[in-house]
Amino acid sequence: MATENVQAEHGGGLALDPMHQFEVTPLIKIPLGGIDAHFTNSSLWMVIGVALILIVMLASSRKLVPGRLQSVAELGYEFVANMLRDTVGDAGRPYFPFIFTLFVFILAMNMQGMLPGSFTVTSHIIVTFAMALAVFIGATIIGFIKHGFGYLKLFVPSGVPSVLLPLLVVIEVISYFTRPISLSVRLFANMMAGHTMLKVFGGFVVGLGVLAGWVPLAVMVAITGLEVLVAFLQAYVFAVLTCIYLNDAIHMHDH
Amino acid sequence: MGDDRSPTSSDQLRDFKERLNRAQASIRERDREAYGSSSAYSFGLRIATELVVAIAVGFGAGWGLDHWLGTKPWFLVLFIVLGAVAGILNVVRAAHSAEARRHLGIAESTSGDEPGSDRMERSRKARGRQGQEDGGNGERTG
Repeated sequence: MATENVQAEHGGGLALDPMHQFEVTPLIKIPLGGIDAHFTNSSLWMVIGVALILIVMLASSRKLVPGRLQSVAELGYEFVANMLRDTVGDAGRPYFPFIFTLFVFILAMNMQGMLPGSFTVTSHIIVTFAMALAVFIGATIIGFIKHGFGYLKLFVPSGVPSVLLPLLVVIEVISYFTRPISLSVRLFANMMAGHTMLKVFGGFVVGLGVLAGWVPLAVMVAITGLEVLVAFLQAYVFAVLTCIYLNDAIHMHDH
Repeated sequence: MGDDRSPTSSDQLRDFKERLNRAQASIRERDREAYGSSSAYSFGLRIATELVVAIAVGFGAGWGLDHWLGTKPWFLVLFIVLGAVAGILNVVRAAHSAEARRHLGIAESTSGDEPGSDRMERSRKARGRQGQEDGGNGERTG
């Protein structure tokens, strides 16, 4: 009973504010006409992430027998190259730089979000949606370039009675337009839910104190492990779905 | 002297290769189990978002058309239903492609995904054998 009261007190107070970590605050104000172009904490962590990627990718030596840093860079390269080859085939090669950049960026953002006190850029839907929209528009343009107006056949399923065809075309179009949204929502929801959960359990640890706080602490350790996994997996899922959409645009086999 | 030593060293090399392959196979096995459970988790989430998002897109399209044409509730009603249908279609497709991947190419996709896979495994022989192993494993986990 006493512990519950303590928890309630803390829960209502400042100890438990799980959404505070997602707040975007401007660090350097850049008023660009009417446009909000502030350099925020989100931008700062993006810059830090990109700097880390550049260190791994550029500062690593180019030896025949790789060192640690070079190994990381090479593993990342091979991982994405294999993924692209398996899903798209050789036709996907020109798009490797884009997929690689996307994967490494999301991975870096997700992973640095696991550091205490850091800001998880991918927990904001506007960030993930911008990336997903770029993928969606890019894949659509590639589809139209490769197939011309024949790309619209993607919306016409084969072997369907003509009575049902208009209905199915509408359904196919809706299904096509769900792509950028489901792509972005998946990443954003995973990151935000995970980090909120971590904060809530962290609040429990503080709230329950030395006596009972060990139980949520143990859960938190487990969730932290899971979150590292999710951080990697969601970067992978984002990249692999991008490859699948690219494959649809290039090869256009009806599903 | 060189002729004397070369057969033993090639024997040793073969022995080493065998042991290496065995060790790598067991590591792959273990990794795949971990990967399988975690990818099931992400697959479940993917299915859930697919369904919800399709309905949301249907809602948006219907609301937009109503707003544009001034036919207040009708397109909204129609497109929510169509969105739900599209969502189910997406789910069925995702399940189909996952199924197909598990039966056909999980060997390639997982060994490609494993950061530990090296060029030696890329040889055709190793790949064929690995494919058989993976097929069996796919059945079991499924």
